[in-house]
Amino acid sequence: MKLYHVVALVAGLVLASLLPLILPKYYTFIFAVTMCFAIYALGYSIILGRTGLLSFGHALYLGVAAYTVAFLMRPEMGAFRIFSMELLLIIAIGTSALVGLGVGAICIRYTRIFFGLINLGFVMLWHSLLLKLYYVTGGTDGLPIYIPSLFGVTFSHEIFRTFIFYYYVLGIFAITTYIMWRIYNSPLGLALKAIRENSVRAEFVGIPIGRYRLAAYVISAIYAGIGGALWAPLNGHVSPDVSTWLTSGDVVLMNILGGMYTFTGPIVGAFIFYNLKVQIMHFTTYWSFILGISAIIFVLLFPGGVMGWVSKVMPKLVKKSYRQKA
Amino acid sequence: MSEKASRRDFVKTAAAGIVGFGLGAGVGYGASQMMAPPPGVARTVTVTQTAAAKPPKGVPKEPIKIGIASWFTGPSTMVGEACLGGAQFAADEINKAGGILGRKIEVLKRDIGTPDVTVEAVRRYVLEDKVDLMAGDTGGSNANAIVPHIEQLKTPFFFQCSTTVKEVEELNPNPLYVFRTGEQNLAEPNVAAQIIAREFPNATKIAGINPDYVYGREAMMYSMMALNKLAPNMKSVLETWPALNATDFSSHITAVLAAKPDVVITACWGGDFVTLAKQATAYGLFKETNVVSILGAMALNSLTKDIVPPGVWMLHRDYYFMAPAPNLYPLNKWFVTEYRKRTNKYPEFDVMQVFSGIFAYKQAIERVYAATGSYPENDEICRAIQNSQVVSPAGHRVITSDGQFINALPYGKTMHHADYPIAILDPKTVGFIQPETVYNPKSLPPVLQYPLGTGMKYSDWIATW
Amino acid sequence: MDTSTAVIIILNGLFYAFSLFLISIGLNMLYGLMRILNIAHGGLYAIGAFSTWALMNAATKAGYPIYVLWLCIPAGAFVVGLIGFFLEPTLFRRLYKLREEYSLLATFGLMLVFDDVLRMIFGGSPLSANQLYNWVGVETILGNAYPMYNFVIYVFAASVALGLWAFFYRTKMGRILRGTAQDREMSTCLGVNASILYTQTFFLTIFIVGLGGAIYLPATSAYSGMGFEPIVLSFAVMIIGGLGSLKGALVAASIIGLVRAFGIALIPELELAVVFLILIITLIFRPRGLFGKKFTREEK
Repeated sequence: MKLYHVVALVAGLVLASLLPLILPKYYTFIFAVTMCFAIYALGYSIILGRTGLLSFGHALYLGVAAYTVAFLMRPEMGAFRIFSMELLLIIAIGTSALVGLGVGAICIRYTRIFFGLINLGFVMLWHSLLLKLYYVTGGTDGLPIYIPSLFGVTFSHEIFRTFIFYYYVLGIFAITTYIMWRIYNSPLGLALKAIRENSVRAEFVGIPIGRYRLAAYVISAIYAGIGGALWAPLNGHVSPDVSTWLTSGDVVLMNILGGMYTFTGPIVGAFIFYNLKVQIMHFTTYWSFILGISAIIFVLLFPGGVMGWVSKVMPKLVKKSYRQKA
Repeated sequence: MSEKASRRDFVKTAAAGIVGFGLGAGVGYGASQMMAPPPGVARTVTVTQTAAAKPPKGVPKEPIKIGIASWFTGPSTMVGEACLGGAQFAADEINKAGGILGRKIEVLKRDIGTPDVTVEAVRRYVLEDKVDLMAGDTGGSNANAIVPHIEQLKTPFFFQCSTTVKEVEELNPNPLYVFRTGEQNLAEPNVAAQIIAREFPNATKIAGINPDYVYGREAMMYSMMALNKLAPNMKSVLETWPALNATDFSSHITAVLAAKPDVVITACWGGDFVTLAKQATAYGLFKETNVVSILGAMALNSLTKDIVPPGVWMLHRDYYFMAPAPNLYPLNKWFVTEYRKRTNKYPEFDVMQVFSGIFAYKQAIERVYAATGSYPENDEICRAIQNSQVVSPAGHRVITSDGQFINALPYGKTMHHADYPIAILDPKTVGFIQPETVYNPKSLPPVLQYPLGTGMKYSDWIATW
Repeated sequence: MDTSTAVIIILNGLFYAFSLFLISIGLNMLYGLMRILNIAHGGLYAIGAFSTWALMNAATKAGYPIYVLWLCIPAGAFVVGLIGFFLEPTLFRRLYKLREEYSLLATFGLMLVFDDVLRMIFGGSPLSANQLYNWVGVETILGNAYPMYNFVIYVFAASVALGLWAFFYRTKMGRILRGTAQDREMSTCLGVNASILYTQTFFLTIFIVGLGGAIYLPATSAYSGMGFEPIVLSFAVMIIGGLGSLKGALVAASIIGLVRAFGIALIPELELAVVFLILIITLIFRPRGLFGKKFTREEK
């Protein structure tokens, strides 16, 4: 960590804290949502960039967490309704971790395309369940999500959505980013790098690849759960569309757009992706087209993503986690 | 660089970051508290108090912006285009006559999609584009998502019909800014039940081919609930659920044929109904049994003669372009002719719904202005629209106290006529269902609450029949 | 359920199965040989349907007799072939060398592009071209009405399957293809020009999927977003049948189609959930699929 890293971080945090005052309310809302997706993308990066596993079903955990929050807030829960955001977060993390453990234990045995597709199978199965069990899950109509209390304090709708919750999300975003940084630099993180490069050799060296991959998977599921649980009150509503293979593809796009092999890449990717989507949709209904073209351009010309390009231009600023491939 | 050193560095950084965050948050929060109005000041302005409480507001110079939010991409694009067509038509006519109190109307359009996209679009309309009014057909799940936002954003939204039981009963039982310019989704099953009970009194077996999502499920469920009351001899023998936007209904059609029902109810709409009708014709469904289509008429202009045969019973929501008969009701004749000139299509009910909604809006503003001399705020406009009535191509439409536009509901049996490329309803079979018999009477004024009060659940109301 | 209904249900199942087969066989070949999972295959299917519609619409308006409309089907497929002709050297050739994640993302992007371009050109409403469907007419099979056009589809799909089988197992080029799919390095050592092989395979696959979209149009309709659902199910077919297996694709597609058809008739609540359940079960208990090869250590 160089001095300018530190300065950049502090400056970034201060700037982020002051944003709600400078920008119109609409953008505060957008940035809060973007941070939720950034958490989701960062968690995903540990299996995509770090361990080399491409999953096409991570929207499952986003959905599980968001629906858990919705369920706990339902009027049918009566006296057991939970409005405390902290409690909701913990329970959502718990459910995502459990589901991640279960699904992961099945998926981990496979790699490459099979890994991706078995995850796809699970997310689409979850999607079908959400639709079929409509009397419980609300089906296509989804479930409403009410305003939770933050540290016991309840705010009014508009203050919550366009101001207070932004800071809450910012705080959690900072904490989760720090934790991910620690994980990356821990023995687990380095072992995952080894598994990505050459799993056979890693196994021979004594790394328990199955267990470590599962650990990485569950971590990514937890992060997706945190992102989903935070996104739910912002959106005010959850519906099955949040968990399809297409939305799972979005997080892959975010990672590759920002740069799969750098730490900050997925965060940058999430910001670019979501804000681009919102801005483009303002101007044209054909944003899928623009998204598709951008994806193709990035894959062909900037496979390292934005941060990969930055690391080439300013190598000291950004550290890549792979050696230059031939 | 050793790992320990980097960790310590990072801890320092993190601490600095947290301090920075805390500082920023504290400063920000304090500043915002100073700028925002103190909580607890409610705006309870009624029409009469305005004149006394504050100076009259003059008519603003800027144009009135109406934002249409509906599908402009995907298989339901015809719906968005119909909504936009109706809005543009109304705007042009009003602008030609001088606008609303001199203000011209500008129509904007935004695409919707999944609920989070729709929420985005709505928030953007209000916070960025600063629209005065929004309108459009969004579908039930999107409506559920945006209804709470509408009430908070304090800008009226004219939904066409997107209503589900949950929205009406739980989410927003006392709406102020939410209006429904089209027939409620909940009312259609009752209309279907009344038609079936009337036209097929000897039927005993009912089957259903409905799209597998909340709207389709509720349509079938409430149809059967109402039918059990009106004609207890009828039972549902088979219900099949093709996925929304499916292309292959053959298995479903075959299953229904095997059950040999007397009547088949289908709530498939848009492109689904077009494909279903085409395949059903090939499998002979229309010949073997009677089909009642709840919402096929949404795709009116795609229902060409080779797709829809004669003899299909179609519900036309709250407007059919030939009823009230154009030769007897000049406003309808003008409406249909003008719309065909503009778009070369026959107006679907969405067109009429948005059209009449905008005229109701204009009427409300003009009335409040005439009464108070001050240009009304959004909540005053909304209260003035409630409990009023507006003249439309579908006839006189009454707006209830919970924002529902109601008028007589047409239905009929299809036929082919040389003058029309689409299947039309045989005028000899066209009937009207009175709206009071299909709407849950929750919006009765207090003095008339005997013995059905407001706030009754839909299923409980049907149980009282 | 009586026999006549069962027969109709089986036919319906096959109707659905063949559309999946026509898409997934292309996916299978592309992945087996070039390790590219072409999500855009769904988009090519859609392009086949739309271009056929455009041709049929124009032909009907111009007043051509009905047999011209039959020619519109291969013509529509030809349009898809043209698009592939343009795409292969510009896009796909660069994807062969990339990691799987990247090629996946690129084809995903391409799929989005196709979907929006089709919407730009053809608008959002569903488009039908029923002329051929109506012309072939309806006959009764064991007392139940059945559209005869579906038999055209069956014959066509069966010929494709047969033709591919003959190609793979009875021609020299087919053998070379199979060999290269098994072991590319060895194949190039033996003198096979892999790039030309890739190009030829690519054209074959997209022509098949274009024909699939074209021939199904008269029976269904062309609508915006029609590529997304079949592509997911085609993944499932590919996995369940086993990579690199023609037999597997046919069998898996039939299983899914029949399960769906019988499911709808007997237990209407089921549909897509069953397919994904089968996919997961297959991946757990027999990950190589029904007829796929066993994995080597490197592939794990």
